[in-house]
Amino acid sequence: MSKPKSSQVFIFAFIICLVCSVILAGASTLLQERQKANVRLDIVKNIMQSVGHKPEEFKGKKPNEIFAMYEKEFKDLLFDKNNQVADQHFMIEELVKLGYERHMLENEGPIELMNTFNSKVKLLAKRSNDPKSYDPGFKLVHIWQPNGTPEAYVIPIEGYGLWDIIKGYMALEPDLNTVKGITFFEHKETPGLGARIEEDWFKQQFIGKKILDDQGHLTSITVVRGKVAEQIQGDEAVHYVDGISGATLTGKGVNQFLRENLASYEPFFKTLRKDT
Amino acid sequence: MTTATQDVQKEAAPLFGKKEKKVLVDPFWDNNPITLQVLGICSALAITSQLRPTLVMCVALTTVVAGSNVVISMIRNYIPSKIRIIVMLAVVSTLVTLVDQLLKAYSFDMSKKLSVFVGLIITNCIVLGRAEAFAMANKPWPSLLDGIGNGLGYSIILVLVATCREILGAGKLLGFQIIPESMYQAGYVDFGLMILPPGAFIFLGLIIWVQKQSSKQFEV
Repeated sequence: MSKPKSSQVFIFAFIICLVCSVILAGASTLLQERQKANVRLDIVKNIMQSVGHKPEEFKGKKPNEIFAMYEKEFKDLLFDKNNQVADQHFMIEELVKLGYERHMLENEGPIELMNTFNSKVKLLAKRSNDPKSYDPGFKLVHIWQPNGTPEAYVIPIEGYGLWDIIKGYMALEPDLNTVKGITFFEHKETPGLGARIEEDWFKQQFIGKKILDDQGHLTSITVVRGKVAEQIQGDEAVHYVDGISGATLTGKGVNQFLRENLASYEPFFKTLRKDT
Repeated sequence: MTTATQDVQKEAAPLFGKKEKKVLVDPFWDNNPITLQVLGICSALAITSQLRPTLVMCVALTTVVAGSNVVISMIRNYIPSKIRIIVMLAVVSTLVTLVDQLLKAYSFDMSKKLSVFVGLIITNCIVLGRAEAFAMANKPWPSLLDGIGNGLGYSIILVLVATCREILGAGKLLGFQIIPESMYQAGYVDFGLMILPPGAFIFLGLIIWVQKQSSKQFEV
């Protein structure tokens, strides 16, 4: 083979890059809707599992049936900074202020809007010198009311584990103190170690634990290093769960973001507890 | 880098003659990419604790190797040799990203289970190895066969490892209970180590041992 000129090399590289990017951009555009629907379905399934639905219940069901099930049993409520019920359109306005296009947002549900909002606000907070000023203030609560009265309040939980952000849902009984269930659905923890937060034995430990102490102050729930029974005495054990061996840092991350997430919802929970 | 074999195939050669058969079947056992060339170990260890994700991974890898082999082989005479590795990587990563996107759209749960390992097919040495060693010097048709052969060779080992690990480690296969309940009542306990990474090391080691014994290929 004769030695190619460097101009030929550049042209070839350019063509390859162009072809590859056109193919990828095309695929991504074509598949985006489906992927989005899958993500939404996954979220909905997780919210339902956090209140005690079993994964087996979704087997053989079409996505539409699962969405219908969710719509029937759950109500998504958006609350603003002052813990008042906020309108979805209000959030769209806020997003438009942040530079989003209105027509892109109008078909989105509250879960997607909240996601968009959170990620944008986080980005802004990261770039600014005063991260606190970008506190989103909005809170999303999924109320489980299979028979008309609220039987659980589900809140999104999110924060850093060891490697990356862990996302999940926590369901609280109507007393807003007892945990009804927890799920983790998105994480990048080490397979076999931190990734075991997804396993049933770990998640089921949270059921029945309390987030408030006797005086009604928020204590959150802590993943201990090792076994609770060996470390925590008496009644206190109600705020602790067993850790995963080899995944101490994942546990620490979970502790921190549970505390932060619950703390940000606490003022709102207080008003709800007063009402009932 | 290995220099490629010569393009020996003639125009009039049969579409699926002896040579083609050898190209396809050799990597199954006699020249297996995992056990003999010890390539692609990372994913062989990582996603073989259950059979179902393993099968998806095998299909994904076979598609990518076959696809990249064909594409590279078609443009092999135009690729400037100075940037050939980069070109190969561009082709491979495009294919892998495509597979990843398709999985996300059509088999979301599976793509969650395989997580980063689909993306890591890009760095799977089998793919780049076959592109460099075979596709750069052969026509598209034998390259396709070579890709499929190597993909299947990889799959055979992975399926073997995954089957052993799932049965021993969880008592199940493809999610169905294999070891009867009565065994558990009689005191049988699942071998938890098999689910963990050491389980894969042990089985892979055993398979490589059997393989080398049977083919009498020893490293000196």
